[in-house]
This record gives sequence, C-alpha cells and structure tokens, in this order.
Amino acid sequence: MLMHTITEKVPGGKLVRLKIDTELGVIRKMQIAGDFFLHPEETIDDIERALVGITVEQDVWVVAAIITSVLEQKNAQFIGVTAGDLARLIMQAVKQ
Amino acid sequence: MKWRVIALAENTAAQNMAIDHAVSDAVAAGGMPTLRFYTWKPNAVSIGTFQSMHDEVDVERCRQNGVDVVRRRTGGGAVYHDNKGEITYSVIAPEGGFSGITESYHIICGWIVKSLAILGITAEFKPINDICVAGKKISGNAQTRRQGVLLQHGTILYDVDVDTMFSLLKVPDEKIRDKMIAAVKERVTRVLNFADVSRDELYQALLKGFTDGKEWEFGTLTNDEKRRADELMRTMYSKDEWNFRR
Repeated sequence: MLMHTITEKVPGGKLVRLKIDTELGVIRKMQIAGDFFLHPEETIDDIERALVGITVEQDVWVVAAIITSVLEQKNAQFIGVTAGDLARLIMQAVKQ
Repeated sequence: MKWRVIALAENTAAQNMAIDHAVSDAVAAGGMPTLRFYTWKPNAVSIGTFQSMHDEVDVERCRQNGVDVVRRRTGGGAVYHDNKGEITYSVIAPEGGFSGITESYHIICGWIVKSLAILGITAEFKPINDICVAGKKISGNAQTRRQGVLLQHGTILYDVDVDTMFSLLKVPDEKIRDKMIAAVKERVTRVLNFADVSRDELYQALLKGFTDGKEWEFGTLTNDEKRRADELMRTMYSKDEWNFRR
C-alpha cells in the first residue's frame, strides 16, 4: 500500500488536502479534506467512494467526469474548488 | 416573515454548534426564522466540516490550554474563537427567503457591512465568504443548507490575538511559522483598529444591522430546542466520532 498526499490552494479558490492510498496502481482509499464548501456536505462520501478503484494511469478528464457525475446525481455543488481541480490534484498526487 | 432574535449568550463550543443544529431542525419543522448572537467559553477552535482535525489543530496544546475543539456542520476553515475577541452570529431561516448560496452570502454579509457602517467602519464583502476592511479580513462566514433551511454562521473580529491563534493551529512548515504569523497579521484585522468602541457597542450595532427592515422580537430557545440541543451536544458535538471523523 502506498500513501500519497498533496496540499494545494486552488487558484482563486480554497485549500484542498488529499490523502490517497494506492495498491498495485489502483486507488484503494481516498480522503478529500480542506476549507472548501460542498452542498450537500454528505456528497463528499459519495465522491470519495466513486474514486476508489480508479487506476493511477487514468486520464484527468475521466476522473473529472466521474466527480461531475456524482455531483449531478446528488444535485450537489462545490464552492471554492471544481471537479476539474480535484481530478488534476488526485492524478498529480498518485503519480508522486 | 417575523424573526426571533436570541440575545448574545456565552456557551461552550459543543453547545453553540448543537444550538445552531437544533434551531435548524426546528425551523425545518416550521419554527420561526432565527438570528443568534453568541460567544465561546472557554476559548475554542472550530474547524470546517471537511477539514481534518489533526491536520489543522494542535489538539494537545488546546487541551493543555483548556481550549475546546469542535467540528462545524459548515464548510470553510479553522477559526480561533477568543472568548473576549469576537462575536459570532447565526442566521437560521427557510432557504426560500434567500436565493442561491453565493447570492445569500452577499445578502447576509451585507447585514454585517451595514452593522460596521453604524460604527463608522467601511467594510466590503469579499467573495467567497469574507468581509474585509481596508483589504484585511475582519469577518469569516460559512453556510449550509439542510431540509430546506439555510444556516449561516460567522464571526466578527473585535480584538484578535494572532500569536495565540497560531499557537493552536498547525502550520504547514514549522520553519516558516514566524513568517506565516507575520503574513496573517498583514491579512487580518479587527474592529478595535478602526473604532474605539466596547464589544457591547459592536453587539448593539450588529443587532441593528441584522434586524434593520425586519419584523422581529427577542426570544429564547423553546423547550424542544433545548432538549434537542442538549441531546446533540452529548451525542455529536462533544464526541470524537464527530469531531475527529476526518
């Protein structure tokens, strides 16, 4: 199991801290923390769950699409970070 | 829409968050929209709902100094609530009376801007969720929506001790602690820097700014709200399962 962390203040937005466990090139566990807003807040658990099983080679746009589809399903809204920001940070973290 | 105003009161961190939660539940069930003003005793650190307690807060040092720690239901960042250094407010109302989230920050933060103007302080709302005076932050705000109810709470800094604040919050790199404190001192300000007023005068100004143009009356928590708040305090906001869940 490899643990990856990344902290970044999204340009024009909020701070995001990711903790990601990978095993054999696959995301096994994900924590998305930070001072952003997400309504409804419980959607964070759905997003974290949806990202488990993704390979570290996945394209950023595919990861962004997965996050966006969870947001749409839950009629949820990020403030201070976007699905694209998160996807970029996730893939940056797991490649480190 | 007639508002209930709950006058300035001092509570523990867990009580304050439990009361906000209980009142939100009551408003969802048809209770009166409510404005609350409160302070924190003992001093406390609250963190945003998505933050990791151990990443943001020096929990051991808080314990040693008798400082409460609590996780909010709202997003946003870690806040140090000095007992004498600030006033916190909550607005709890049906979301139908407000528009989208970004827009409602504008509306409610406008009440704070109006309050500060009463004291002769020119402040401006700085999206996403800050209010600034002369380019420095004087108020931070956070909002959630549950069961059709808007809850926005925030603090107005009256007197702030940035050194104490930073002794309780984690910094990313110990080597740059002094630099970070200096940077935050540049970015944060307080009412006392602009107006020679007592904290009670600030409270009176807030009361005026928040209630201006509204129909309102002073009120207290109902027995149901007290019971629910007490339950939430015991089972949620004083529990590690909630406060340390991230």
